[in-house]
Amino acid sequence: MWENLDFGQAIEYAADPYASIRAWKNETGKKVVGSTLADVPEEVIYAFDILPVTLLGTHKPLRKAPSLLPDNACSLARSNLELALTYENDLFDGFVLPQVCDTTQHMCDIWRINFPDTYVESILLPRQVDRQSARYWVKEETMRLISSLSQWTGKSITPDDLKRSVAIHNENKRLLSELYQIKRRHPETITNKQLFSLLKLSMQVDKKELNESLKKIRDGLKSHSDGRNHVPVVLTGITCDPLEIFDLFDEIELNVVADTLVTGSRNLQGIVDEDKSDLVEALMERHFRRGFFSPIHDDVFKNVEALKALYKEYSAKAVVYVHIEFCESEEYDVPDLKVAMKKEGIPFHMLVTEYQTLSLSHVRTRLHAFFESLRESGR
Amino acid sequence: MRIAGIDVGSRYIKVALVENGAARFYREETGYDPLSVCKRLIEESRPHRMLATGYGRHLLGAERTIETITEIKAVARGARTAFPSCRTIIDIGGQDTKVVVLDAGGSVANFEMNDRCAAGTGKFLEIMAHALGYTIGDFGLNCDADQEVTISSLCAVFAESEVISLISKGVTREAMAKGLHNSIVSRILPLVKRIGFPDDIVFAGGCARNLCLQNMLSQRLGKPLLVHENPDMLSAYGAALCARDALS
Repeated sequence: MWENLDFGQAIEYAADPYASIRAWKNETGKKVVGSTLADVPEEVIYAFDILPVTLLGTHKPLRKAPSLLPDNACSLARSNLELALTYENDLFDGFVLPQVCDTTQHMCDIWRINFPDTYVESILLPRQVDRQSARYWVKEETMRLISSLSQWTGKSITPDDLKRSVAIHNENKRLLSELYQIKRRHPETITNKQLFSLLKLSMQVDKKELNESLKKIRDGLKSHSDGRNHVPVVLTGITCDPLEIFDLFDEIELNVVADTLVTGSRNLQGIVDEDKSDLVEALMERHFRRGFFSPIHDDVFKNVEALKALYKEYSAKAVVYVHIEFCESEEYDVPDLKVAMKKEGIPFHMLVTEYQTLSLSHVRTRLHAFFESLRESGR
Repeated sequence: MRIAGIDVGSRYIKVALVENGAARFYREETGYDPLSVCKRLIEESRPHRMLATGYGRHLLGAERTIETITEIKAVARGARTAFPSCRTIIDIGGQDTKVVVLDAGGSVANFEMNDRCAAGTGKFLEIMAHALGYTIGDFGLNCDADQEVTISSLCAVFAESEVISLISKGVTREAMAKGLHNSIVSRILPLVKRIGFPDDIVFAGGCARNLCLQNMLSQRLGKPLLVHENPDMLSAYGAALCARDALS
């Protein structure tokens, strides 16, 4: 299904992967489990021969979600609920939902009530990650998830099953990192839209198949110029959706050279130590190596430090922050982030996005005007 | 050489023609087919060179490979030329509000725009004027009322409901008009204060034609406002000037 994609098909599937997931499910007879952001150990789900799919919202109209979540709840949370309730309600055999913020904690109960005949498991991830007990907790939660999936499927997994799954996921992250590196140096070779479509798709489809496409895409690339006309920028936030925002980036020749997006580089940081004898321990260790994620880190300055380092390392010209409307964690962090960027003298631009009601013409004007003035100031 | 700036706005398409140091202005309603209106205006004005701006600028960019700039840059260039002391521009158009701060050299130093909703913009004024039986031209001339009425909703739908409720309470339409203008100013002020507003301040966009808004905004900011005789033309004018700059 996804082993022979070119860039065009990858963009098409990334915009709406669900039809292809449904076809894959019918073809293979395998189960599909959805998860919301972030940090569900998908390697565990995959080891059970189940397809883990990260739910990344829908831009289709809200019908049922508004009666379950108020207008001022996280726009992504509402959109994900709608996706599962209305548009893809026959696709998912189960859900594994991480509890990472107030909204997602309450969401787990809402999902349980609304999907009474579906497997719904939660995984509670600690917020105070600096505590020693957090490590114990994450490992216990991972083992509990394995036990829960085992009970649901009536199967158990061997260490080799988990090892194979980890290897596929690691390879996926390495291949995407390679493509990112090529794009960073040669932005004419891979556009922002193409790269971030692949990153998104990799969180939603079978990575074993997609890895074949990634290898073919990588091998078929011909590097052109060094991207001298492109403006290097660092992107931050949780997600950058819809993918059409990257068209706007491409339109004004921005080159995303680095990011701290949860659906971007933070996902690629999730490589697990395959050589470790206890892979559950390795999965736990991976959890704490990943970068900043607003809901599970109480120190926004970790993100500031990461952004400063990336800005410097890649000689970026600005940091673009993508805000999800009514994401309470981001709402708390953004004032400090703005002040810190200003203090550091880093040009900073904030794009506000909202599922269902985003006006791209507004985003376009803001983005164009920001970089127009940046170029004029000679930075 | 005749140089044009065309501002494809949400309510009006404005053209500024700069020739031999003088500027002429034209405008037409945007309607449902802005590209046709643009084409006609271009054919009538026959510029040798032009630049497009405004929310619909990309229609022209795609169709005729005409270069584009944002309305932020355009209004900055236009306002600064019309008023060389200008450092802040408050531009309220048909569907958005922009506050632009210029550096000492006249380049854009910072800007803010309203959220995606058109609350508190020209479109809102139009709907409210219609609800109270005024033309948009007369609306700002009929706010002379002693009675203080607070309109809390800036959503056109909710505000209209509030107005209907006030009508049933016997509140005069002049008082409601004053309350509506006041609510728009209340919406703009946080945007202005967030970004800062160094002197001198130019009030631009179609809403700057509204005398009541001019006075209220000036009063609430505690500063005088500079208003061009064609405040809605400053972006088109700025685009024409940028097109001329590019030649040199």
